[in-house]
Amino acid sequence: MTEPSAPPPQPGPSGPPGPSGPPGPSGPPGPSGPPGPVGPVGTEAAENAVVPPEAPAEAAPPEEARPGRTNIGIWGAPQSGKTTFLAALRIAMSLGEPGWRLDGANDGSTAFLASSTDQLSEQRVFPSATTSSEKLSWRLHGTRPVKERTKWYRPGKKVSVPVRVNLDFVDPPGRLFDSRAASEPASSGGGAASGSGGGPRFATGSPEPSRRSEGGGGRDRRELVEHLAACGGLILLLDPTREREARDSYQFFNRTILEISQRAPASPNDHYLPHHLAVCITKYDHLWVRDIARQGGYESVTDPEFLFPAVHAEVAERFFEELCRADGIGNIDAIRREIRQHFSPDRTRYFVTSAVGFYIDPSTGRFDDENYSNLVRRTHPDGSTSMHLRGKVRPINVMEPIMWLVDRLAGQAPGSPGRGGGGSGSGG
Amino acid sequence: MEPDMPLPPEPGALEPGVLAADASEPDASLPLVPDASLPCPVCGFVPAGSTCGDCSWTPPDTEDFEACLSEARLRYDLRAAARVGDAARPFVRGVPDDEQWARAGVEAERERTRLLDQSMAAAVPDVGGWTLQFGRPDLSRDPSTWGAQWAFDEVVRHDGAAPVLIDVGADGVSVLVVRPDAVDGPDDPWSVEEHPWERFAAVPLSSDAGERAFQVAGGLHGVDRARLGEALDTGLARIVERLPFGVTTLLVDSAPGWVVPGLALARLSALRPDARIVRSERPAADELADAVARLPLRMPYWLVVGQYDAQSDGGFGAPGAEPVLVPLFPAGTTAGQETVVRVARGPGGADNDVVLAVVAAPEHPPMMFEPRPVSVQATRLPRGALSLRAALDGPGRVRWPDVADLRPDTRPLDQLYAQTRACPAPPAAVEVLCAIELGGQAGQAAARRALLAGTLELIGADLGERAAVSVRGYREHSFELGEERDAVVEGVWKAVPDQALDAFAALPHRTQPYQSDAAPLEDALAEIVDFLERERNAHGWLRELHHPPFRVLAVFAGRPPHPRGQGQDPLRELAQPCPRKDDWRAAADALRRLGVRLVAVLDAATDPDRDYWTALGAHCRLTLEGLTPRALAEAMGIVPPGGASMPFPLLASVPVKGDPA
Repeated sequence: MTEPSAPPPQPGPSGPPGPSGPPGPSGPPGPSGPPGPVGPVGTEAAENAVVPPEAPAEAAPPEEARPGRTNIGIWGAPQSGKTTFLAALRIAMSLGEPGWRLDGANDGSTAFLASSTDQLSEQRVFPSATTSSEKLSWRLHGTRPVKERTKWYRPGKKVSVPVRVNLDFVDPPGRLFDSRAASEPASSGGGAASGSGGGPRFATGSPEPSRRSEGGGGRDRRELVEHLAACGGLILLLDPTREREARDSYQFFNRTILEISQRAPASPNDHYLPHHLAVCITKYDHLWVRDIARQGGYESVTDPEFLFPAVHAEVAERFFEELCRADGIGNIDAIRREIRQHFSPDRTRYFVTSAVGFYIDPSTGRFDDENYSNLVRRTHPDGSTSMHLRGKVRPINVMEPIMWLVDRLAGQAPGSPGRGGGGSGSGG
Repeated sequence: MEPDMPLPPEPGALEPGVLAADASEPDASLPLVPDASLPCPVCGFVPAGSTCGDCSWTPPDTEDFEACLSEARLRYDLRAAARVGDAARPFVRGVPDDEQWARAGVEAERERTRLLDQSMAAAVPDVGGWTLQFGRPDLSRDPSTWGAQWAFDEVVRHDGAAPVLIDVGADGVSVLVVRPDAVDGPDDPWSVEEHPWERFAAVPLSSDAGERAFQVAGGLHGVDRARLGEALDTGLARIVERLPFGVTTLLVDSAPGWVVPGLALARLSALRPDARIVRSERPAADELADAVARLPLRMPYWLVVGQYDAQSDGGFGAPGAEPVLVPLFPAGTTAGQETVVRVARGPGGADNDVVLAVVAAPEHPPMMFEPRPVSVQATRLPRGALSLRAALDGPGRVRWPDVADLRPDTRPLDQLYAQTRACPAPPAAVEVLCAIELGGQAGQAAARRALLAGTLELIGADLGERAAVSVRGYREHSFELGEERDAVVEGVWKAVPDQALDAFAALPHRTQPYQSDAAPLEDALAEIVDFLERERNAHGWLRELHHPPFRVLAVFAGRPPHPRGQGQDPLRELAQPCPRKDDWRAAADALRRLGVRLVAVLDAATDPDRDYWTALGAHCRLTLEGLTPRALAEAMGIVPPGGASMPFPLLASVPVKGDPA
């Protein structure tokens, strides 16, 4: 990894300022204004600048700082797989290219990350929901290659510049984005898990429908919506299998997007929200989801070792549209419309993910199209059921949304305004 | 005994027409010199002269008249009471000491023996004696009885009109009309008409049984002799006049030495002068029964068994059985002979009685001859081939010493024959294959096990060694890494039902977690198909083609099989595919090609209309709850439908190793 030339941090606008948020990373964050603590790298692409790890603004504890451009908020309905996604992210990092690291920003986050990773990879069960009241936040460290600016007659070369992104778990218990009153318990999931973590809901299960009444959430909800609005990137987890049964994803999405719209600053170049949005369509390993992908021809083999299929990001949005058509009863299509309405197509990208991946038979070491589910549901003698993983966790498209956001957020850094509508978007 | 042989004179015997004095006060003081109109103070007989003609009492002239009279009374009463026994001792006038009482008993026995000997001497035939028409006489009995035995034997061998026996004994008069042609039947071959003394005409005897016996034996001092004579005349005349004239009549004195029976016999002899008189120490019915039992069989005796004309390999539905006769005792067999037959209970015999019906029929019966039932008894037979001993106790008396709990069966043989013909033939050999889910919900798993155990027990009881049973119990697939291909099926192949039941009982109960939407039934099916194909290869496919064995597979399950591949069953999105790549569809097709009858027993909560159950229960799908082993076995086609059963035993031809027979 090439050490980037680390220019001094440049305080400056990092996107539209909030109503009262001072620009620059060191200033106290405004109530909704995104701080812009992105330190541009003094290379050819200042737009590729990222936050230098040594930024003075980072001296303060992350949990006390307001989120900014380099913050990515993970967002999703209860039981949409946020906890599992995080645990799978760490595993995906260890399985993927070296150079990326995920650290907890505080003790609770570190413990949660360790516990959920252990549950998923070692115990082969889905991580349980966190009960910590502490805000969960992680720092993603790594490098990204940038093209060094040189004289016109000298060939350009790429250098790696360090990148650090904050990853905020904005809905730890999976409840704050529920529309019910905060005092009421979250709906319990199918299987042994409850809350937002502990395993997925299944289309064949009987999820408890969420309440449709509005209101609730209180101060925590408001704070977290503000936090979400202040993030530079958002990861929206959509579980299409859950939508088939519970049909509540739109409800969660709808209210939250309205509240984010209320608080988020306007985009300087268009009428959309300024955020970069990675829409993760989860449960790709589920039979129903995969059948749609397979029958629609959206799959391609991406993994050279195990020959996993995957849906490439280039066709993920079309696959999402296909999924909306296939789901005749849910409201996924409404979510899709809302996404198009609120987020710029240039700043939106779709990913078809699977946190646990496919099962690989150790005796063959190859993906088996007839035997690929990595999940086993066990019924115990007392009648209770629990979900287990059959084999090793091999996440699919878990790193990619993060990397895309990192790339786009870096492109949004001060001094590189032209990258706001970069070409890596879905093209909608 | 010649009919006109006079009986020895009996003390106290009344002559007809002699009137007796009023004997209402027998112990009243009597005049020292007997009055011709007064009865004898000792016996109550009205003497014609100074000496009593009955007891020879003559009043003494000495002063010890009273003592002599008491002694005479005591002697007279002791003589009668000793014939009866202790029951009559209280009615003796005076107080006899034990020595006197014992001496009286000895004298009574001696007199009885003397009378029987006289009867024996008179009964010995002049020529011939016992011939082959008789059974062997019971020579172990006292020789004094031989005469009576001979007389009775002669009566029962009579083939003509029904002979008549008039038994005069201590209890009254019995008239027995013998039917010699009915000796082979299950009932006594005679009819009896009883005339007990207490209801005989208007005899002036006591209503107390003990005193009446004392009076009948000769204690007649308080009895109006005239009235007694009249009553006997009247009653006996009524009896005799109802008897057909010319039939052989035997007068039986079953109370030798007793006075009233002697009086009756004297009158009967006068009424039927052609009648032979015989003395017997036992009632005539007992002697008659013995005489019948001594008869040789005039017709062979046969045991009715069921037989299938053609053993079917195609399950029930073939023609029914036919009742056939198995020789038991040939003609001429006498009591005491034994024979052994080898039988086995037929279909349904585990739950129903088996009838051991012995009939009499000639070796070559004429057309439309109906065998006569001799002995029809029902019992439960154990499974397997049995050697049953049959003992002949005489005509109409066949005993089964080895069979306990025999009960008479009153159903007519025609009905049993019809039931036999309605019982369809079982397959000669059955291959029963069972695949049972051992895991799952504990209550359902226990119910499945109980049903299969009961069914195996029933198969063993009904089919025995004709059934080859394979039981394959399947556990759960382990989806732990490295354990996925572990074998999950265990059990026994092609065992006799008992062994299969033991092996099945030894299969452990499963309590580990399971997949609610699938169980490794496909593994068990794949094993079974593989086994059947190996069997076919071993026997030769051509042979199986021409003689297809009767095979039935019963699946006891609550959960469907694992699909072959992910998504094979769209309704079970989360069902894991079989890690061993076994395919229930392929197995079901193979089972169908192999001609296996497919029966599925499913939990109540299981939808029987899913494609896997329609394939695996192609012949029948049943619900576990409330299903009995009998109903399941019927659905499997291994027991007769509708609870049909074979009433008669089947003839077992193959001896059992170690069988004493």
